[in-house]
Amino acid sequence: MTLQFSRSLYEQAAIEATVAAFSELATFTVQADEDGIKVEMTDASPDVDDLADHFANHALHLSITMTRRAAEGAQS
Amino acid sequence: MSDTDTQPSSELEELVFDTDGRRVAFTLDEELYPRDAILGAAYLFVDRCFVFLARPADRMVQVRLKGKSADADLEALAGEFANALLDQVVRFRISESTGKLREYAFARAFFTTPAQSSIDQLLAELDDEELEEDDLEVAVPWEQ
Repeated sequence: MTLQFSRSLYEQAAIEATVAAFSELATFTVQADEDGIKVEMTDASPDVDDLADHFANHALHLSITMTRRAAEGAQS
Repeated sequence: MSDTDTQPSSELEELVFDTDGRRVAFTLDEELYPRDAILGAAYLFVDRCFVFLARPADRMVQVRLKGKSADADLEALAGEFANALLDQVVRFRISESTGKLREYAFARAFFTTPAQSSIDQLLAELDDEELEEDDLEVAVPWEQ
């Protein structure tokens, strides 16, 4: 399964952190280019339903948190 | 409102969305809904449902919501997201329009009064304060 994340909506660091967090549940290959960040997920654990959705949620949550922290840092 | 189970594309007031029974998707124009407002609304929903954001075109953001359970009310979810989104847009616009004023107020509060004189003034106030007599005459360490 391949997930395509837009660079303008997701932070690459957040996706890499999510890959690290989910590394025991599947094998991930990350490819980043100008268009976006592509994550290929293989050997997903059968024990977890909706693993790709959980992955995307986690990545979004981290991206928003990182974006907010960066904005707060820029203001102070 | 139309039936979301049978219609591939439905409308919730002005919000047009597609659903396949498990997911609901709608596309937002960043001219109307700033990116930060969309992210703010998405942040509020990540614990309730699966949220995925995509950019189908420049200045457009597609929001895909998927219920965490199979019987999630997708139309209600889309409506609640739209409400949260409007709330975030209002917050964003107010924050933008009052940003300079807020900065000015903070700057004035923190930097216009010299810090040293404030401390001296507080110390002087403490010195002038008449401490009340303690009826119970509880001993304090520095008086022993």
